[in-house]
Amino acid sequence: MKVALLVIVSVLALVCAGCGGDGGESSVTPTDEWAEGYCAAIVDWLAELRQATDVLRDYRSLSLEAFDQASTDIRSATEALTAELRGLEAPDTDLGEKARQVVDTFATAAEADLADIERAVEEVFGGTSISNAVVSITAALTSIRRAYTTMFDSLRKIDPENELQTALGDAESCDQLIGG
Amino acid sequence: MSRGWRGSAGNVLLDDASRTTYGNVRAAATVARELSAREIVLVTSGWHARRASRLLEAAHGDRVLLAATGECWTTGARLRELVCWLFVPVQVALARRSR
Repeated sequence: MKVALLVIVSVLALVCAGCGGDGGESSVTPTDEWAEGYCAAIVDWLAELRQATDVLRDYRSLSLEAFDQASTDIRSATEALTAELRGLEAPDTDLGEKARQVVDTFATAAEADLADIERAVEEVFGGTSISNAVVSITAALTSIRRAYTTMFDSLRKIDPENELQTALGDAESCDQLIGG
Repeated sequence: MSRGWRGSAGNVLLDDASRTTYGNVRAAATVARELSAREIVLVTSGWHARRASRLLEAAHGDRVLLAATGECWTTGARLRELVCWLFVPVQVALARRSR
Protein backbone atom coordinates (compact mmCIF):
# COMPACT_ATOMS: atom_id res chain seq x y z
CA MET A 1 0.00 0.00 0.00
CA LYS A 2 2.82 2.37 0.90
CA VAL A 3 4.46 1.68 -2.43
CA ALA A 4 1.24 2.37 -4.32
CA LEU A 5 0.79 5.67 -2.45
CA LEU A 6 4.35 6.66 -3.22
CA VAL A 7 3.81 5.98 -6.90
CA ILE A 8 0.61 8.07 -6.94
CA VAL A 9 2.37 10.94 -5.17
CA SER A 10 5.23 10.74 -7.65
CA VAL A 11 2.85 10.77 -10.61
CA LEU A 12 1.02 13.79 -9.19
CA ALA A 13 4.33 15.56 -8.67
CA LEU A 14 5.28 14.89 -12.29
CA VAL A 15 1.92 16.12 -13.58
CA CYS A 16 2.32 19.35 -11.62
CA ALA A 17 5.87 19.80 -12.86
CA GLY A 18 4.59 19.31 -16.42
CA CYS A 19 2.01 22.08 -16.18
CA GLY A 20 4.47 24.51 -14.67
CA GLY A 21 3.23 24.40 -11.08
CA ASP A 22 1.21 27.11 -9.40
CA GLY A 23 2.86 27.82 -6.10
CA GLY A 24 6.49 28.05 -7.13
CA GLU A 25 8.39 31.27 -7.57
CA SER A 26 8.09 32.55 -11.14
CA SER A 27 11.38 33.12 -12.94
CA VAL A 28 9.78 35.65 -15.32
CA THR A 29 10.82 39.11 -14.19
CA PRO A 30 9.00 42.37 -14.98
CA THR A 31 11.89 43.16 -17.35
CA ASP A 32 11.26 39.88 -19.21
CA GLU A 33 7.57 40.70 -19.51
CA TRP A 34 8.38 44.18 -20.76
CA ALA A 35 10.77 42.75 -23.38
CA GLU A 36 8.15 40.25 -24.60
CA GLY A 37 5.54 42.98 -24.92
CA TYR A 38 7.97 45.35 -26.60
CA CYS A 39 8.99 42.86 -29.30
CA ALA A 40 5.46 41.51 -29.80
CA ALA A 41 4.20 45.04 -30.50
CA ILE A 42 7.01 45.67 -32.99
CA VAL A 43 6.54 42.28 -34.72
CA ASP A 44 2.83 43.03 -35.30
CA TRP A 45 3.64 46.53 -36.55
CA LEU A 46 6.29 45.28 -39.00
CA ALA A 47 3.97 42.61 -40.41
CA GLU A 48 1.27 45.23 -41.09
CA LEU A 49 3.78 47.71 -42.42
CA ARG A 50 5.32 45.19 -44.78
CA GLN A 51 1.92 44.29 -46.26
CA ALA A 52 0.87 47.90 -46.70
CA THR A 53 4.16 49.05 -48.22
CA ASP A 54 4.11 46.07 -50.62
CA VAL A 55 0.80 47.47 -51.91
CA LEU A 56 2.18 51.01 -52.16
CA ARG A 57 5.23 49.83 -54.11
CA ASP A 58 2.93 49.29 -57.10
CA TYR A 59 1.73 52.87 -56.83
CA ARG A 60 1.70 53.39 -60.61
CA SER A 61 -1.20 50.97 -61.02
CA LEU A 62 -2.80 51.59 -57.65
CA SER A 63 -6.50 52.42 -57.35
CA LEU A 64 -7.58 55.20 -55.04
CA GLU A 65 -9.31 52.63 -52.80
CA ALA A 66 -6.21 50.43 -52.54
CA PHE A 67 -4.05 53.47 -51.80
CA ASP A 68 -6.47 54.67 -49.13
CA GLN A 69 -6.62 51.19 -47.55
CA ALA A 70 -2.81 50.80 -47.48
CA SER A 71 -2.37 54.28 -45.97
CA THR A 72 -5.06 53.56 -43.39
CA ASP A 73 -3.33 50.27 -42.52
CA ILE A 74 0.00 52.06 -41.99
CA ARG A 75 -1.65 54.65 -39.77
CA SER A 76 -3.68 52.24 -37.69
CA ALA A 77 -0.74 49.83 -37.29
CA THR A 78 1.52 52.67 -36.14
CA GLU A 79 -1.15 54.02 -33.79
CA ALA A 80 -1.54 50.53 -32.33
CA LEU A 81 2.23 50.26 -31.91
CA THR A 82 2.56 53.57 -30.07
CA ALA A 83 -0.43 52.70 -27.84
CA GLU A 84 0.94 49.25 -27.05
CA LEU A 85 4.45 50.55 -26.31
CA ARG A 86 3.04 53.27 -24.05
CA GLY A 87 0.83 50.71 -22.34
CA LEU A 88 3.72 48.42 -21.44
CA GLU A 89 4.23 48.17 -17.74
CA ALA A 90 7.83 49.20 -17.28
CA PRO A 91 9.79 47.55 -14.46
CA ASP A 92 9.59 49.62 -11.28
CA THR A 93 13.26 50.51 -11.36
CA ASP A 94 15.41 53.39 -12.54
CA LEU A 95 16.12 51.44 -15.74
CA GLY A 96 12.41 50.78 -16.23
CA GLU A 97 11.62 54.49 -15.94
CA LYS A 98 14.34 55.38 -18.44
CA ALA A 99 13.05 52.71 -20.85
CA ARG A 100 9.54 54.13 -20.51
CA GLN A 101 10.84 57.60 -21.40
CA VAL A 102 12.77 56.29 -24.42
CA VAL A 103 9.69 54.49 -25.73
CA ASP A 104 7.52 57.54 -25.10
CA THR A 105 9.92 59.74 -27.09
CA PHE A 106 9.66 57.34 -30.01
CA ALA A 107 5.85 57.21 -29.78
CA THR A 108 5.62 61.02 -29.80
CA ALA A 109 7.90 61.27 -32.85
CA ALA A 110 5.97 58.54 -34.69
CA GLU A 111 2.67 60.28 -33.98
CA ALA A 112 3.99 63.50 -35.52
CA ASP A 113 4.98 61.58 -38.65
CA LEU A 114 1.54 59.99 -38.78
CA ALA A 115 0.08 63.46 -39.17
CA ASP A 116 2.20 63.85 -42.32
CA ILE A 117 0.83 60.58 -43.71
CA GLU A 118 -2.69 61.73 -42.98
CA ARG A 119 -2.04 64.99 -44.81
CA ALA A 120 -0.62 63.14 -47.83
CA VAL A 121 -3.77 61.02 -48.06
CA GLU A 122 -6.04 64.05 -47.78
CA GLU A 123 -4.11 65.74 -50.58
CA VAL A 124 -4.79 62.79 -52.88
CA PHE A 125 -8.50 63.25 -52.30
CA GLY A 126 -7.92 66.92 -53.06
CA GLY A 127 -6.39 66.11 -56.46
CA THR A 128 -2.67 65.40 -55.82
CA SER A 129 -1.34 62.34 -57.65
CA ILE A 130 -0.94 59.06 -55.77
CA SER A 131 2.76 58.91 -56.72
CA ASN A 132 3.40 62.28 -55.01
CA ALA A 133 1.55 61.07 -51.94
CA VAL A 134 3.57 57.84 -51.86
CA VAL A 135 6.76 59.92 -51.90
CA SER A 136 5.43 61.92 -48.91
CA ILE A 137 4.42 58.74 -47.09
CA THR A 138 7.87 57.26 -47.76
CA ALA A 139 9.47 60.39 -46.27
CA ALA A 140 7.27 60.09 -43.17
CA LEU A 141 8.12 56.40 -42.80
CA THR A 142 11.82 57.24 -43.17
CA SER A 143 11.44 59.65 -40.28
CA ILE A 144 9.67 56.96 -38.20
CA ARG A 145 12.49 54.57 -39.09
CA ARG A 146 15.08 57.06 -37.77
CA ALA A 147 13.14 57.52 -34.53
CA TYR A 148 12.88 53.74 -34.21
CA THR A 149 16.64 53.28 -34.64
CA THR A 150 17.24 56.03 -32.08
CA MET A 151 14.92 54.23 -29.65
CA PHE A 152 16.88 51.02 -30.11
CA ASP A 153 20.24 52.75 -29.63
CA SER A 154 18.95 54.64 -26.59
CA LEU A 155 17.72 51.43 -24.96
CA ARG A 156 21.23 50.07 -25.30
CA LYS A 157 22.84 53.21 -23.87
CA ILE A 158 20.66 53.35 -20.74
CA ASP A 159 21.43 49.71 -20.00
CA PRO A 160 25.13 49.35 -19.07
CA GLU A 161 24.43 46.10 -17.18
CA ASN A 162 22.73 44.65 -20.28
CA GLU A 163 19.62 43.79 -18.28
CA LEU A 164 17.19 44.89 -20.99
CA GLN A 165 19.41 43.58 -23.79
CA THR A 166 19.53 40.14 -22.18
CA ALA A 167 15.74 40.14 -21.71
CA LEU A 168 15.27 41.18 -25.33
CA GLY A 169 17.69 38.49 -26.46
CA ASP A 170 15.78 35.85 -24.47
CA ALA A 171 12.26 36.94 -25.40
CA GLU A 172 10.57 34.56 -27.83
CA SER A 173 8.74 37.34 -29.66
CA CYS A 174 12.08 39.06 -30.35
CA ASP A 175 13.21 36.09 -32.46
CA GLN A 176 10.74 37.16 -35.11
CA LEU A 177 12.57 40.45 -35.56
CA ILE A 178 15.46 38.73 -37.31
CA GLY A 179 13.85 38.25 -40.74
CA GLY A 180 14.21 40.64 -43.67
CA MET B 1 24.53 37.66 -59.69
CA SER B 2 26.44 34.41 -60.26
CA ARG B 3 25.10 34.28 -63.83
CA GLY B 4 26.29 37.83 -64.44
CA TRP B 5 29.75 37.27 -62.98
CA ARG B 6 32.42 37.73 -65.69
CA GLY B 7 35.45 38.49 -63.54
CA SER B 8 38.40 36.25 -62.90
CA ALA B 9 38.70 34.60 -59.54
CA GLY B 10 40.67 31.74 -58.05
CA ASN B 11 37.57 30.45 -56.34
CA VAL B 12 33.92 31.38 -56.61
CA LEU B 13 31.75 30.23 -53.71
CA LEU B 14 28.01 30.42 -54.22
CA ASP B 15 25.74 30.85 -51.20
CA ASP B 16 22.49 29.36 -52.42
CA ALA B 17 21.08 28.67 -48.95
CA SER B 18 20.50 32.23 -47.77
CA ARG B 19 17.18 33.88 -48.52
CA THR B 20 17.74 37.25 -46.88
CA THR B 21 20.48 39.88 -46.78
CA TYR B 22 21.01 39.02 -43.12
CA GLY B 23 21.51 35.31 -43.92
CA ASN B 24 23.77 36.22 -46.80
CA VAL B 25 26.11 38.44 -44.76
CA ARG B 26 26.29 35.90 -41.92
CA ALA B 27 27.35 33.20 -44.41
CA ALA B 28 29.85 35.54 -46.11
CA ALA B 29 31.39 36.56 -42.78
CA THR B 30 31.78 32.89 -41.81
CA VAL B 31 33.58 32.11 -45.08
CA ALA B 32 35.79 35.19 -44.65
CA ARG B 33 36.76 34.01 -41.16
CA GLU B 34 37.51 30.49 -42.40
CA LEU B 35 39.72 31.90 -45.16
CA SER B 36 41.33 34.44 -42.77
CA ALA B 37 40.44 37.08 -45.34
CA ARG B 38 42.34 40.34 -44.92
CA GLU B 39 40.01 42.37 -47.09
CA ILE B 40 36.33 42.13 -47.99
CA VAL B 41 34.79 43.96 -50.94
CA LEU B 42 31.02 44.01 -51.01
CA VAL B 43 29.51 44.35 -54.50
CA THR B 44 25.80 45.08 -54.63
CA SER B 45 23.07 47.38 -55.92
CA GLY B 46 23.24 51.02 -54.93
CA TRP B 47 19.88 50.97 -53.13
CA HIS B 48 20.85 47.88 -51.14
CA ALA B 49 24.45 48.83 -50.38
CA ARG B 50 24.09 50.76 -47.13
CA ARG B 51 22.07 48.13 -45.34
CA ALA B 52 24.18 45.24 -46.68
CA SER B 53 27.46 46.88 -45.63
CA ARG B 54 26.07 47.79 -42.19
CA LEU B 55 25.12 44.15 -41.60
CA LEU B 56 28.31 42.71 -43.08
CA GLU B 57 30.48 44.96 -40.92
CA ALA B 58 28.55 43.83 -37.86
CA ALA B 59 28.97 40.16 -38.79
CA HIS B 60 32.61 40.50 -39.84
CA GLY B 61 33.70 42.87 -37.10
CA ASP B 62 35.68 45.19 -39.35
CA ARG B 63 35.20 47.69 -42.15
CA VAL B 64 34.37 46.33 -45.58
CA LEU B 65 35.04 48.00 -48.91
CA LEU B 66 31.91 48.81 -50.83
CA ALA B 67 31.48 48.68 -54.62
CA ALA B 68 27.91 49.68 -55.35
CA THR B 69 26.21 50.05 -58.72
CA GLY B 70 24.90 53.48 -59.61
CA GLU B 71 21.24 52.55 -59.98
CA CYS B 72 18.75 55.25 -59.15
CA TRP B 73 16.51 54.72 -56.17
CA THR B 74 12.93 54.15 -57.19
CA THR B 75 10.17 54.88 -54.71
CA GLY B 76 9.32 51.17 -54.71
CA ALA B 77 12.91 50.18 -53.83
CA ARG B 78 13.00 52.88 -51.16
CA LEU B 79 9.82 51.54 -49.56
CA ARG B 80 11.16 47.99 -49.63
CA GLU B 81 14.44 49.02 -48.04
CA LEU B 82 12.66 51.16 -45.50
CA VAL B 83 10.84 48.19 -43.97
CA CYS B 84 13.97 46.02 -44.17
CA TRP B 85 15.88 48.70 -42.23
CA LEU B 86 13.49 48.25 -39.34
CA PHE B 87 14.95 44.79 -38.78
CA VAL B 88 18.54 46.04 -38.83
CA PRO B 89 19.00 47.02 -35.14
CA VAL B 90 18.17 43.48 -33.99
CA GLN B 91 20.09 41.88 -36.84
CA VAL B 92 23.20 43.94 -36.06
CA ALA B 93 23.05 42.94 -32.40
CA LEU B 94 22.69 39.27 -33.33
CA ALA B 95 25.40 39.42 -35.99
CA ARG B 96 27.81 40.95 -33.46
CA ARG B 97 26.98 38.27 -30.94
CA SER B 98 27.56 35.48 -33.48
CA ARG B 99 31.15 36.52 -34.33
